[in-house]
Amino acid sequence: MSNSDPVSEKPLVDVHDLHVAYGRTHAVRGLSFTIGRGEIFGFIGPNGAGKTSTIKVLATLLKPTRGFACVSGINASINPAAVRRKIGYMPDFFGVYDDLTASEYLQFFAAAYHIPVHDRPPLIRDVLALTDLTEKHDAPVDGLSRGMKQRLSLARVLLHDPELLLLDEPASGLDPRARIEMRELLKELQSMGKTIIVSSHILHELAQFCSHIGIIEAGRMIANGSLNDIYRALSLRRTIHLQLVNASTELLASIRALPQVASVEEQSDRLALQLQEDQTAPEDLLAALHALGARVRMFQPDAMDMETAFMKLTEGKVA
Amino acid sequence: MARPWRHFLSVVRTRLSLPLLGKELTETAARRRTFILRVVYALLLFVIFGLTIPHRSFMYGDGRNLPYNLLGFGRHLFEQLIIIQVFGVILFQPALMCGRITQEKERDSLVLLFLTELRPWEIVLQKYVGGLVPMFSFLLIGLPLAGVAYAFGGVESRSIVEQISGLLLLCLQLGALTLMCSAWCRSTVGALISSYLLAVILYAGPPLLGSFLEGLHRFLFHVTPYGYEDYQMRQYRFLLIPQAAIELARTNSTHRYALLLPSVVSVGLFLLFARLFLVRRAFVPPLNFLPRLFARLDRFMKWANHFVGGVVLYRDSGSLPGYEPIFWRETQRRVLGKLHYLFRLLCVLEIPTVLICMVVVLGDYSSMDSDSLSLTGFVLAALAMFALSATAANSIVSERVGQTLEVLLTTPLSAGQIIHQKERALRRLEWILAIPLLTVFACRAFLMAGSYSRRGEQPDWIPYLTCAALMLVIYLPMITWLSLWIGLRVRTRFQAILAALGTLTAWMVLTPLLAVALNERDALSGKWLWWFLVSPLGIPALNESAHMPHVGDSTNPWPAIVANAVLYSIIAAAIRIRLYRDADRCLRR
Repeated sequence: MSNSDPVSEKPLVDVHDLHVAYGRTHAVRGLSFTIGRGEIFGFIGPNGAGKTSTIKVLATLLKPTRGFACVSGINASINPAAVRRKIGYMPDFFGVYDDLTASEYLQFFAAAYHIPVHDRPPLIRDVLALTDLTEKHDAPVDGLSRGMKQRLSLARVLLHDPELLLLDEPASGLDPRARIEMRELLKELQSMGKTIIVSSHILHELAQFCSHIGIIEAGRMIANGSLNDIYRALSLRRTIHLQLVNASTELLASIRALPQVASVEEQSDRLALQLQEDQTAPEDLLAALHALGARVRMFQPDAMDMETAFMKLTEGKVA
Repeated sequence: MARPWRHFLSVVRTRLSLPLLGKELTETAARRRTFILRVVYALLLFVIFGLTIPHRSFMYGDGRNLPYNLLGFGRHLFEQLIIIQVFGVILFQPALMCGRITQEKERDSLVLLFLTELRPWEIVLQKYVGGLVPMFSFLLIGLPLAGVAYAFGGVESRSIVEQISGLLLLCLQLGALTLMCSAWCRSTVGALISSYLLAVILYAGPPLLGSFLEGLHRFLFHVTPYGYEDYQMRQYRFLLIPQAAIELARTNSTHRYALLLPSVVSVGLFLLFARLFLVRRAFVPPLNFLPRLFARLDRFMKWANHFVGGVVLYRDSGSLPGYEPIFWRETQRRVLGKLHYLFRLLCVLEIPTVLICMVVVLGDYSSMDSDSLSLTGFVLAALAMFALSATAANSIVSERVGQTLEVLLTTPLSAGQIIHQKERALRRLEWILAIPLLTVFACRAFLMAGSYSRRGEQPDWIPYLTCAALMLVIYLPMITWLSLWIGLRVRTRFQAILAALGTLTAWMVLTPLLAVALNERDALSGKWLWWFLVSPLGIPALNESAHMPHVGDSTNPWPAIVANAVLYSIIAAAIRIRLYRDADRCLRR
């Protein structure tokens, strides 16, 4: 997928023919994708699509039933200990110890990552500053707000300076301010060169900072690429809403006969034209309509955004 | 039909639709646990009952195992069956019923019930019936066995009615008590523990209180009351136990039904309290009882310390984790891990133990003193098993419930290291719980050694103390490992504690009971004693009751002690190996 990187550079994440099953339920069915270094990969899909299962395989929490997931060339199933040093996993829940203070919580995980004792205080200061929690250094975790707990989780993820961040629904349940703060934080991490896999339901937010998107449904990848790639792929059936002043049966027949038009649907106050995008651009269609003598009152191509793409690509199926 | 009547009938029909009861029964039927428990119950019932039959034929027959030897024993078999069922109800009813209301609280669905047309009484009663139905279905399993007992003859119809009424009343009483606890508590675990505690108080409290008052009366007025009337009076202490009340009613023709009143009234009272607590304690916040208790104790100790000049034996250091973060957290932040809390726990256990030992040592050594030491030892051992098992089983589950386990598992710490650090932290608790037990054993050994000089008997305190010490050294870690292993495999605190305590109770208590049921008369002598190796408590119990010299038809107690120690060392090691081997798999990595 990573077409921006040099050919010689291996992708940081390589998932191939991944299958995950819980008993008879197949959560992931033959998922394959790669992520280059420094990319932010947005993982999108309805609930039960298999996003969390895929992330858990990469986080060494689940063993795949078939296929493999490699981080930096290391197979997560074969050598999980090595992979754990390269990743930082933030689940879709807080995962914090309520009986510790913020700094003790970070000390705890610094010890779990075998960071030398004398290196810990400056490191903890840095990650707390990065996540804007310096003032909460000695505050009990129990008393932190939801957004702060989420940022503390992110601080914990950064302690051992991992190459890959696995963030499962980092903005879930946060208020708008906390969501914006989280988004800014992720942008900052992007600027620091971290590779991030982030799953989310808040699609337009993902669109703002993800370099690549993978849309998954019922355990299968149904779209994968850069945002522009996906939009372009979906635009094959771009809809254009049209209002004509001089609409007549003959004119409609002429429009239907245009080679660029896939179909025409007559609605109460307008026409909905579906284009063969690879054969024509909306502006060419407009020119063709003028050529047919149509007097156009409204010419409105459907706005293509993440939500539209998501709705177009998914059918609401679960694994 | 007139409109008011139609309306009335419609209202009655709506009320009688019992939607909550329907939901409860559907949920219970859909739960796999119900079927597993029913099968376990049936197996235990049939096996224990079945084992009593051939034994009886040997005991009372002419030595040949002929069916007619059993004729007339139906009454005995029926009574045995009822006793087994009574134990079954006491063990299973709280477990089946404790989550009826607490689960609604845990799922935040109780408020939704309040918003419906259901009144609090309807909720309580439908929950009550919903909880009783599974237990009644358990009791029905005994019906074929009752038929077998009846076929052997000797069972009166009146006895059947009385015994079954007693059993049903026990179900109603224990069910109401558990429902009351469920309405009071915030969590299912809390409801389970408080149900068992209250059941112990309800059934054992009045007899113990009566004994205490009688003893006080004897001490103050130097009375020796052992006449028939005193015996009768003593029986009234058991009136809250339906079986005992029915037994008493049988012999008392004047107040027959009045004697059942305490049990019946207690059912009504428990349900009334359940109704009150249902509303008043519907929105209580989660309460961590133990930390709050210790925090209060802390404040009290600090206050009390002023009077002795503020002596500080141990000060909590503001330490940070080195390279064992889990061990650090378990010993610095958990209530049963902090050193100063553990020291307080030790004081609470050790001071009364030492006082009892001093009274026994300073007094004239008699069998009664020996019994009080044994009772103290038994209570301390039960407490140790409960505390250690519940803490260990909860150790991993608390990470799961607190959603910290997954985060922990993505660190370079292996599952084995996580378990090892948890296990190491639990060792402190093991030591603290071992000290009072060791005090009791040492006191007993001291008395044994003393009795040698007075009576000129063979001194037997060395094997006694060795056996007791080995029991502590082997069993306490074994309980920890087993409970940790169970904790690895379950998802909730309730399941973990119930499974760990259930397994240990079955292993430690049921097997000796089975041995006794097998060979009632000869259980404490000869070849059957080796049966006691099946249970970890078998040999220590014999050691305590001074029956060790008879093991294996020999006067030498060492073979039994060594065999027990070796066997349980191997079992403990096997459990530990299994624990570490299963760690990764059970944590789904």
